[in-house]
Amino acid sequence: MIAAKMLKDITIHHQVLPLTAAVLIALVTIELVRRRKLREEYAMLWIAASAVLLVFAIFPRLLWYVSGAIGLVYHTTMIILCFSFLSLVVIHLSVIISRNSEDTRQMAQRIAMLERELEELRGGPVREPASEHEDRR
Amino acid sequence: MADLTNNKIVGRILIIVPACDEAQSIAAVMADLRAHLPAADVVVVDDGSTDGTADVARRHGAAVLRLPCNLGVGGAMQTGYMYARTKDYDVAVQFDGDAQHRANQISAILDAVAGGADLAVGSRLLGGMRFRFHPFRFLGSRLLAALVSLIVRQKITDPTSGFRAASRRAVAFFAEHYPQTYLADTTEALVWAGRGGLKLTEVPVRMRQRQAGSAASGNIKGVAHMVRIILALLIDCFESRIKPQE
Repeated sequence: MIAAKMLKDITIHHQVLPLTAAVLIALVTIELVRRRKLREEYAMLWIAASAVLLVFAIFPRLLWYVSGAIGLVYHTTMIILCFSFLSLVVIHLSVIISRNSEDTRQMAQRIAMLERELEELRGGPVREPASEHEDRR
Repeated sequence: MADLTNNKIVGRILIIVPACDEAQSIAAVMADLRAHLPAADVVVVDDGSTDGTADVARRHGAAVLRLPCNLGVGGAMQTGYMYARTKDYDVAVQFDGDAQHRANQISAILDAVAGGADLAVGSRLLGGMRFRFHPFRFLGSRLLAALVSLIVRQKITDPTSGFRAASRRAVAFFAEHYPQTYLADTTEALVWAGRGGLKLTEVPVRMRQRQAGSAASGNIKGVAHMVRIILALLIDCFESRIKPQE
């Protein structure tokens, strides 16, 4: 009886939960791409992640084989591996953000310089088009 | 006193005034500059203000560079230097838009540039100058002063002073390289300038006491800024991101 219950728990923990997570990640990713909030190149990463999760959800024993194959004794090591993966993703994104803000800076500076030049040529200040984002600071 | 004789020595002067939502104080700043340096041109770099700073500055005779979004003092200052380089000025003076700096002190830093310095920094702590810092800020400022002095191998007393005059060489340098983040725009700029082979010097000046910074820039944030700037300075020690000027 107890053994049967434990087996059921294992199934829930190792199949239903990751399965839900994998499907959820995939759905959210696809929906974000559909709404043009996420570019395909970043979506690929999360689709791939959810695919890996899906494989492990369907074949939970695979995780055991994998850990055994790479010589993992403690399962906590698996968590650390996951954490490292996520850290790399975040660092990658930080690099992209830094590059973007550098680009934004250069563009803002050039706009300021060009606007000034235009002002000198026209002999009057340049009126900006009605701003779309007044309070985006 | 800065006057025309002074201008003859150093040439054409551009005062760079970075301003973000300073419509209240910019008129006084412009009047102060006009009174003491009538021959100098003023460029106000409007760092994404929403209170009409640009219009007020224009009305008071400043050239205005309007940044479409807020870049922070570093980005704004660099834009001013880009303008100075494009317009071929001989000297550029960094002057805050919040009325902290005094126009009658500009002659002191201009003299230092005329005397051969590439970057003259107005120090609040040199030559018996008494400036009341907030205790925490004073501590932070001492720590940064020690660190910067160590890196540029020259005694720097007031690394966070934004009251500076830059020679033609320094203008060209800062138009290319200028640290962007808060505190780095003063402190790290000194290190980069030193690395870039610019001649630094400090001059005693007087400044107005500023109404203590808003509570938002309080202690925890202040500590975070300090940690970040120290990290940046240490990275500068190991890897020079700056190539020396010719």
